[in-house]
Parts: sequence; structure tokens; C-alpha cells
Amino acid sequence: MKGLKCSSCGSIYTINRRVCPKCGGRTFEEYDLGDSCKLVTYTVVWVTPKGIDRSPLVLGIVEFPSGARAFGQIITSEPKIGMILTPKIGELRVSDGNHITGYRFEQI
Amino acid sequence: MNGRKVALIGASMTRFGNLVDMDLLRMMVEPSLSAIDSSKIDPRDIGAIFVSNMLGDALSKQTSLGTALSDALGVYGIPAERIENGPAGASALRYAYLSVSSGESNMALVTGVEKMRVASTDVVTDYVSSMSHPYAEYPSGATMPSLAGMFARLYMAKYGVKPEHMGMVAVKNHDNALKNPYAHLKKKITLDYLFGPDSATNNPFVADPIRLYDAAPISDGGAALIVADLETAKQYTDRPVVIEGYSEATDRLAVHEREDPTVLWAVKVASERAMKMAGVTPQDIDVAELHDAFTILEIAESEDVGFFKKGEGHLALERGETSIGGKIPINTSGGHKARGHPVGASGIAQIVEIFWQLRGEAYGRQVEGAKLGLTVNLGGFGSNAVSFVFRGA
Repeated sequence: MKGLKCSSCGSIYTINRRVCPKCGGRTFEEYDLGDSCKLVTYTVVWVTPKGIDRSPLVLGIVEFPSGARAFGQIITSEPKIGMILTPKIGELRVSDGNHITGYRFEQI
Repeated sequence: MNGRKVALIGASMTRFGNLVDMDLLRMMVEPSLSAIDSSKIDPRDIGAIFVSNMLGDALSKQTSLGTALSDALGVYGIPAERIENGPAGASALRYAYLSVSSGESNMALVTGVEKMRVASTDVVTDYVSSMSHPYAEYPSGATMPSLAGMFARLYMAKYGVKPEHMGMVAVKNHDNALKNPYAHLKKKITLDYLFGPDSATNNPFVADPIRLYDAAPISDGGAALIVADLETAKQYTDRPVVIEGYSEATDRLAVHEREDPTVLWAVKVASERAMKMAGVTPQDIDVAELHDAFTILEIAESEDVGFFKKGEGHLALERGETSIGGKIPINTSGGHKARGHPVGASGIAQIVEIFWQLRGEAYGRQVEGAKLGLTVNLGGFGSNAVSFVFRGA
């Protein structure tokens, strides 16, 4: 999974940003976040939002070795804090008729 | 801060709940008129109107609510605006404070309003979820309950908070709401009802570990405040409720980007600054309304405002310190949890409760001798926080 590294202070982000919140820098380079991350916390969602018909839906926060974190769908039937996951592109939801794809985090 | 001292002289609210007989406009007008009448002001003395509302356009096809209220009250020629800050409706009082303190106006009306029950739960949940990060949270299906679920699980892992502690917040706030005639949920609950053998029916999971009774209901309602400079205020009442301090602060929009996601940093900063401006400490506060859209948030905020050490809020709750009669009663109104949570109005309703408490008018749930009150109102999942410190006469 690709992220951004601030050219000025080296902070790493998983969110596409124009300004580095840490130092105010505006130039970023692409950064390879790696293909494994750790589950920091999660929730098992029984009342799923519009446009997602899988129930339950596991959502969580993952952390990459660089310390950068991301939020997303966790593809596992047995979520556990600390488990190792890998980012893979898949369909996230349907929003206003559009199929939205993006990274999800799957059990290895 | 330079400027004039500012005080509340009137406060009112509709009952919160499913108000089928009131449209959005009437839901603004009724509490506004009631606040105007109870403070005995002439509406033509109102110099500015600030309306807090989040979903008027989405759910009622109505915008420019400030102008609409100005017209409905027959008060023309003044600034009148709608403030949209998610559920952080208290930011409308901040604008009124600035207007009055600076001398732009001598008297301002602040009205919070939300009509949510017109739409289905999934539609409302979707609009409310639009407060989450548009790239990093919403596309994956983030909702406020799911953000609360992740927050609660981290809290439980880090500080030993149990689901029963979250349940204790719900039980306490439902008890308080039973004594508040304006509350939405008037239902006595017990820990056994929430976690006993029928828990799957009574209290199902929404976003594990968040259960039904950990979340505030979807409510309709309106609330209003009359604000004036202290000199003007004294012409109308000998018991003005003075705004001693306030502050608003933002934090990272996406929860996962926060250095420690269990810390509501915006709450910490806004509350510290509000109390510093007031010249008081957390230990001086007699009564507080905190933003319990989810029960875990009341526990976290009770720590981040400085009432208790981080990770110890649930222990104080367990000891009854946050109940009426305890050291620092929290959410005597029933909180968002049970008084109800019409998102644009609930931040104003928190202040209405503190107004009543500091004037000794919170009948049946009065905190004896309350002189100093604190409110904390959130936008998003803690990405924006507005804190106020009030002093009674």
C-alpha cells in the first residue's frame, strides 16, 4: 500500500494530504507502507451503513511498521487486537449508485 | 480576552423526542418565544440571531434558518445566521458571545434546532456519518457508532473499562432524565436489564462493544438562550448566569491520525482554555453537562476536562461521584443519552440545563448550591469541541 512521506519532516501519512499537519510542508513523496500491518482496535458493526450489505461488518484501525495508521474494513471472521493483516484493494461500498473501491485489510 | 462581560438572562427548550406536530420553523420559534417571554425582554431589542442546525437542508429542505427565525419573530434589520458545526451547536453561543462582548449588539438570541425523526434511521445515520473524514473514513463505512465502537474497545484494552461501566452511564442518565420533564427517553433501566439474560433483545449490539443503550437516541427538538452584556442583563434579572470562560478547538478529523486515539485532545484544550479564562480549576466546577452521544464519551470527557485522572473516570462513576449528590454530578439533564440528541439543539440544551442548575431551577434534580457549571459539546467524533464555564449569581 502506498502512502505519503513529507519531504520536509519525514512524517508518513495514509491520507492524501496537501499540507503536512506536523510541519506545514507542501511537498510529499510516495512512500511504500509495506504489505503488512497490525490491528490496533476494531468494532463489529451489526447495523451496517447504507451501501454496504455485508453484516456484520468489521471496521478497524491498523498500524504499519512506520507507525502510520489507517482506518478500514477488516476482512476476517475472528478480529483480534494485534493480529497481522495485509492491505488489498476491493469494493468498499456503493454510494449514490457509484461503486467505491479502496484498500481493505485482510487476514493473512 | 478584552470586551464586555456577557451573561445569559433567559433559557428555554421544547420537550425532546418525536415531535410530529412541529415543523422545523416552529421548533425554532417556540423555544425562542418562551426564552424571550421568560426573560421579559422586548424581542425588538434583540440585536443578533444565531441558529445552530446541522441537517435542515438535508432532512427538511430548509436553509437560511437565521433569516427565517428573524422573520418569524418579526425582528428585522439585524445580523441572523445559521451555524453548522456538526452537533457542536454551542459554537452558536460563541458567536453570540463575540457579538455582545465586542459591542456589535447588546442582546442576542441563540437557538438550536433539529428535526431528525422525519427520515429513516439509515438516512439520518448516513448524513451524520458525513462528518467523518471524506477520504479516510466515510468510504469504508464509518458511522458515529462504529467510531465509538473502536474508541470503546481501545479504552477497554488500555484502562480496564468494562461494558458494565458504559451501562452505568446509561442507567445514571436515564435516572436523571426521569426527573427532567423535557427529556426524550423516560424509561428506568437497570444493569440487569442491559446485561442480564435478555440482553440480546433488550440491548443488542450496534457496533460491538457499543450496544443500543450506549447510544443517544435520534430526537427532534429546539432550545434557546437570551444573551446580553452584563450591564443590560442586570436590568432584566438579579440572577444572570455569567459566561466566565469559553473556548473552541479542533483536532485531527480522522480518529486514527490522533497520537493517542483515546484522548479527546480538542476537549482537553478547549476546556483548559475555558477554565483558565474563568480563573477556575476542574475541582471548582459544581455541575457539568458532557457530550454523551455515546456512554464511553462521558467517561473519556470526565477525564479529559480534568475531573479525574486519565483512565480513572470509570472508577469515579462506579463510586457514584458523577451522580446527583456526588462530588461532580454529570449530565443531570439526562445527557444526550436520555434527554435526547437533536444534533443542532443538544449543545444549547446542555447550556439550558446549566442555566437552570445555576439559578436553582432544576426542580427534582437540583445540585444543591451549584455556582459553577461546565459544558462540553462535540462536533464529529471529537474533532471539534466547544467548552463553556458559567457562574451563577
